Formats: sequence, structure tokens, C-alpha cells
Amino acid sequence: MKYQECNKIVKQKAFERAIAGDEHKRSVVDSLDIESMTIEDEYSGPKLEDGKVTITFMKELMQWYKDQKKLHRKCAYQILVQVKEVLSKLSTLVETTLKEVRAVGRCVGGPGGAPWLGRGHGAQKLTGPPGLVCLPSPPPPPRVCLPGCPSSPGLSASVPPSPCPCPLPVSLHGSSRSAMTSCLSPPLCPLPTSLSGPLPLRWPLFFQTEKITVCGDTHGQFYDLLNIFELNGLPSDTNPYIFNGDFVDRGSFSVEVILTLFGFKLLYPDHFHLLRGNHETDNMNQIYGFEGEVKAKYTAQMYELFSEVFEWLPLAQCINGKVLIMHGGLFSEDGVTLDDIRKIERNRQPPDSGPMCDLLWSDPQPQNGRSVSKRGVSCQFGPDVTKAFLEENHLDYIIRSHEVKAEGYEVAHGGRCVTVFSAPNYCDQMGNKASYIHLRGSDLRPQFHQFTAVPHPDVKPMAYASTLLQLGMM
Amino acid sequence: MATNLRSTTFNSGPSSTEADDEGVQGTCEDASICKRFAVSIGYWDDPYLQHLVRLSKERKAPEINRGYFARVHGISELIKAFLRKTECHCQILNLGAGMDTTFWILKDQDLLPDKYFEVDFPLIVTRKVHSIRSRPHLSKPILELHSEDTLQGDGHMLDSKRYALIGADLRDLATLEEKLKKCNMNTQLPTLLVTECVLVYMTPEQSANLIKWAANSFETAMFISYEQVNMDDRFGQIMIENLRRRQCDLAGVEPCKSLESQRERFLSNGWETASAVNMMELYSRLPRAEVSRIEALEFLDELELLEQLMCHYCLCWATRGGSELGLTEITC
Repeated sequence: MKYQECNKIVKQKAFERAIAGDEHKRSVVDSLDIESMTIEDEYSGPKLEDGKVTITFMKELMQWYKDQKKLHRKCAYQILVQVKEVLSKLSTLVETTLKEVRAVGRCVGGPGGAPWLGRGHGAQKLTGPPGLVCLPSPPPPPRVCLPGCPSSPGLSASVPPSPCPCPLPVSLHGSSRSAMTSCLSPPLCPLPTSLSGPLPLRWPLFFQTEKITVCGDTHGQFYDLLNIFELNGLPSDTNPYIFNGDFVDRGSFSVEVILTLFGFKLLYPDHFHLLRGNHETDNMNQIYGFEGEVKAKYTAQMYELFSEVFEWLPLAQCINGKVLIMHGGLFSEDGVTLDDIRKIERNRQPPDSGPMCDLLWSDPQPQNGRSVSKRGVSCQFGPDVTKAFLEENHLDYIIRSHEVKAEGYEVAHGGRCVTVFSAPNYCDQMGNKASYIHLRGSDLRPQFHQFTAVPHPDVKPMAYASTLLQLGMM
Repeated sequence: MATNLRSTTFNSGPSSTEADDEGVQGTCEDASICKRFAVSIGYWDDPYLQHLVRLSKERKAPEINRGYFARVHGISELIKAFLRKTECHCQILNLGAGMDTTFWILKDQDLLPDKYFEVDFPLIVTRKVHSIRSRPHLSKPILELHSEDTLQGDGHMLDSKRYALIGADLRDLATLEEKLKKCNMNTQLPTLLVTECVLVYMTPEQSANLIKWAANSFETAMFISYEQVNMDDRFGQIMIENLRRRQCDLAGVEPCKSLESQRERFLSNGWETASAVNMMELYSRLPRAEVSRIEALEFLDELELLEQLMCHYCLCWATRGGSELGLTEITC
């Protein structure tokens, strides 16, 4: 009896599994023999070093792409196979911690170079909420620390120099809060001229809060992506990024964008995050240009592999248990929890409805309740839906993308639903600004940075179903 | 051919004129390729286009397909309304027709006017004549209505009882009129003139002359024009710039400022009534069944781009006389 019961359950689960998703096809990876692909002598472009992505490779790759050249298919395949492996190990809900304050140990300087923290000299102890230290005026732009200035305690002096983001801890006392905000950016790392004697409390201290940059849709706008890196710095372990979906389609340089993003994912797997957008799907790629672009630049088989890789992109990310990030938005039904998201079996094309579909497709609306989406799929959700979801999951607010906004961002639902969009002058037509968001461990409120479009090379008209406006309707 | 008659408000010399004409002629191919692509996806039926233009290997964006659907539907509804009001006792002049297939479609629908004239640059007409002569699907319908076994004309033009294809420069009205009359154009018949993305390629003065010539030539007439509108904004500037780089000048963009200016160009050149509607408005007025059908063909992930595109195109129609026929009632 018990066996029959178990069997029934197993069969039922297998059936549910089968109808729940696409058939599990054989992977393109199985039919690839990357090792035997040769790179011709004439190819002078970037190559992986010992089969690995390095910072040198990435810099060469971005320049190669800027010059409108093509990455060798072997390298593209190497990247895709490796990134598929990396992504498949992630949870559907990625959880990230931004440290509020990272204590900084000794700094270069005078004899002994006594550490400032946790030891005499009247220095503040860095436990619990940070102290009241603040610069009296907005700090100058970041400077590279001199050698020997470690960025966290316990590191030896051999740590290579790096930009030392040290926004100062903020007083959380009432009215002074707004004044403090200006001190939060940009970061600063001044060096003391002398380390002798007790430290006056109002001397700038080497505090560091972790920062992350959240970008929205980029849609194949490679030159605008390069501009983001110019403005905000290249990705690194101390300059982490989240790209919130819709990397491809519409723009004419989707291949360049996606391989650059995948390259950085491989280089900084714990500090460079990619979330899936509704355009990381077969239906969209077929119509909006990515499939056409991959087939034109490479092969149909490579597109198949891209499709498989997209299926492994996580669907949401949670920062410090407080800020939830997803491409589309919230859900068609009440009561969805973070655990429900975590449990979604995402390696498939999204279904026509349900939480996975909503995460990729939904939009906020101004009025309470839910409505049929003007997109024809998923829903529109009101401020009450957002409030309830946040409360139930102990979150502060959500960041999403998916909708072009004239200013590059929008704050809705009383600050609880933020949209960030990072494709300026979308499709060479909309004339919109774009933006990215800074979040800090010490202050999770979104800080918006806007930017405008940069020029890009003319591609042939009507290429890859993109650039509608190049000819419009003649 | 008519280069000496071109006003040189913006050109620096004959060579840039030729380049401009070539650029304009290129739009014929763009439009027909886009239409053929949309037809291949199922937006509307047109079994004749495949004989005149190749199928694009690259997909066109859904916004473009929906845009062409609204354009083709809107123009075709106005044409059919005119044919019904005149009970087909009329003639149609499709100016700048390119690879248009309306003649064949109307024949299938039993809605042919007394005679259907198409005019375009000689280079384009030559290509079309060749296609027609070499494809029975195109030539048979014409021959069926003709009084002889073979079609008149040479490699550069074609004339038959119910259909004429004429190479001429629309900016040279004297020659245009002469050629039309040689093909038995009858100024006494109620006449429908159609310009689909044509007027914008000539200077405002040249298009005004054409519109005025039409008003003076026909007592009872209707003029349908489809082209850009609301071009004063950033979108307009970007389009103008993109086209200029492709050697295609929108010489006549001034009357495309607004719906008002589009109407005005007819009212101040001899036409009695003039209406204009932007394509987003027209799209929203299309029969819901049709809209549901076409929206199901390709999933449009967002509406902003479509709306912006459609708001920059308009359909205009003007009438002269014909009140007893009810021409002034025609709407879209």
C-alpha cells in the first residue's frame, strides 16, 4: 500500500514536472568540441588566457568591439560554456550583503602607523552603528590610496592599491540627516599627514561602506554600456554591478553587450550580477533582433547556446534582506514570498502566467489593486500590492526595470517601487535619459545617476529588426 | 529629365539632385520590402507583391509591420469609399505608386475604376513594366480587360484599356499631363489621386503646384495623401538626419509640421474640404476584430515605440466638388 502511494506521488511529480516546463533538451554543449576549434593566425583579436577570462582580455575585448570587430567564435563558445556553468549554480533568488561599514586597518604614514580603530587615541569603536564623524563639506572625488593602505582589516601590506571608497558614516540623528547625505558621495580617502598623538574625533577616518551599482535595460546599446563603465568605473571586486535584464534585442550591438557582460560575470562572479529580463527568452529574441544578430555574426547553433544560458539567469536579487531587485515586477496573486521565488525552477522559457512570468513582465500602476497588463501578459500592480508584499517579506522597497522612462528612472508607490532604465535614447528614437542606481551598505536608499546617449556607428538600415527609426515608414 | 525645373532651394547642383532622386527612388524598395514582409507574416493578403519585390531575409520590427498595416488599411478604405460613392465611374491616379498592387487587388474585388493610372520615376516604371510583362500573374489580369492580345507601350511605359503605367517626373506637370492624356485620362470623370509617401520628397512649392494642378484639372476629385506629420520634434529631427545620411532628403518636411499644416496645403491650393488624422488615432479606430487579429501575429512587448512612430505619420484626404455623390462624407 505504502509503495503504491509513493509510486503514485512520484509519478504525479514526474507528470507535473513534465507539463510544468519545456522538455529537457540535449544541451548544445554536448555537441560542441571547443578544444578542436582552431583560431587562425590571421585573427588578431582577444583570446582567453589559458581558457580563462582576465582583466586584460576584457579590456581588449571592449576595445575590439568598440572598433566593430568580431570575437572569435571559439572564445565566444568558451565564455558561453563557462558562464552557463556559473549561472546554473546560483539560486533563483541571489542574496547579497553590502557591508554597512568595513573597518579599515592601519594606514601608511609615520612610525608604527598605529591602527586607528579599536585602539586608544580616542578613536571610535566600529561596532554597531557608526559614529558621528562627518566631513564638514562635500568631499572631493575619489583618489587612489597610496600603497600600504589596506582596504580592510587583517590584510597585509601586500594588498595592491585600489580606489578606497570611504564615504563617511552618517549621523542618523533626525534633522541632520539630509545634511549628512551630501557627505555620502563621492567617496573619499584622505591620508593623514601625521599619525602622532591622539586623533581628534572630527578627523576623517578610514571607513568604508560597500557600494553596488544597479543598471536597468541596456538592449544592445553597446556604446552606451561602455559609457556607463566610463562614468562609473569598470566592474571589479570593489565596484560591483547588477544588470537587471534586457541586455539584448532592439539595439544593434546585442552580441557585444551580452558577451561583455558574460565576460565580467566570469571575471568577478561574486561581484557582477546578471538577472533575467523578458528579452532573455526565445520569443523575444526571434522577433526583436538578437536571434537574427547571432545568426548573422555567428551561427544558429550559437544562438541555441545563448538561449540555454539565458534560462539559467537568476530571476531576482535581494540586498541585505531589504531591497528586492527583479526585471519586471510583482505578482498577479497575493501571498508570494521570497522563499517561493527561491524555489522557482527557472531553467526554462517562462510560462504564460505565474510568478516566473510576473517577475519578468509585470508593471506598476498608480491605482490600487491589479489590472490587465497593456502588454497582454502578466499584470499591472498597485501601491497596495507593493506594500503588502514588502511587509510580508520584511523588505524596504523593490527596484525593477522593464519600462523606458524619460528621466531614466522613476520612483512610484510612495518610494516603494523604483524603476531604473539604462538605455538612453532608446532605439535611437525615444530621446530619453538613462540612469543607474548606487546603493550603499550604510544607506540602502537609491542614489540616481543620470546619463545621456553617446554616438554609435551606423549599422546598415533595418539591421536585425532594430533601429526602427533609421527609415521609419517610407 | 526635369532637372532644369527643380527649384534649388537646398541643392548645391545637379549632382546632388541626382543623388537625392536616387535616394528617394530607394524608398520605393524599402516600402515594398516592408509591405511584403508584413504580408508574409499574415498582416494582410496580397498575392501580387511577391512578383514585384523580394522577401527580406531580416525581420522587420513589429512596430513597422503594424504601421504598414494601418497605412495600407487606411488608404485602401478611403479608395474603396471613393469607388463606392462614384459606383466605379471614375479614374484613379496613383502618383509615385512604386510597386503598388492596388490595381490587381481591386480587380479581384470587382471594384475597378474606369481606368487606373500609375506614375513614378522612369527608372522605377521600367522595372515594374519588366516585371509585369514577364509574369503572367501580373500581365494576365491586365490583358483580360484589354481590347487587344498584347499590351501597348515599350520598356518604359505600359498602356491598356483599364490600366496605364507611366514614367514621369511629378515635378514636371506639363509633361505629366501630356503623358496622362496620351493614355486617355479623362478630366471629366470624378478622379481620385493618391500619394503615399510622395509629397514629402519634393519641395513645398513643388507639392503645392501638384496639388493645385490636380484641383484645376478635375472638377470632381478626391486627393489622398499619406506621409509624415508632427515633424518639429526630436523624433522628426532624428528621422531627417538619418535619412539625410542615406542621401534621402525630406525636402518637403515643412508642410509636415502638423495636421493643421497638412490640411492647409490642400485648402489653400484649390481644394474645398480637407481632413487629416494621425496614424495612432487611425489605429485606435480600426475595427477591433482586425486589430485583435493582427496584434496576435507578433507579440509587441511595449507600446511606447509604436505610439511614437504612429504619431509621426498621418493620412489626409481632400475633396473638390462631388457633394451630390457624397464625397464630402467620406471619412476614415
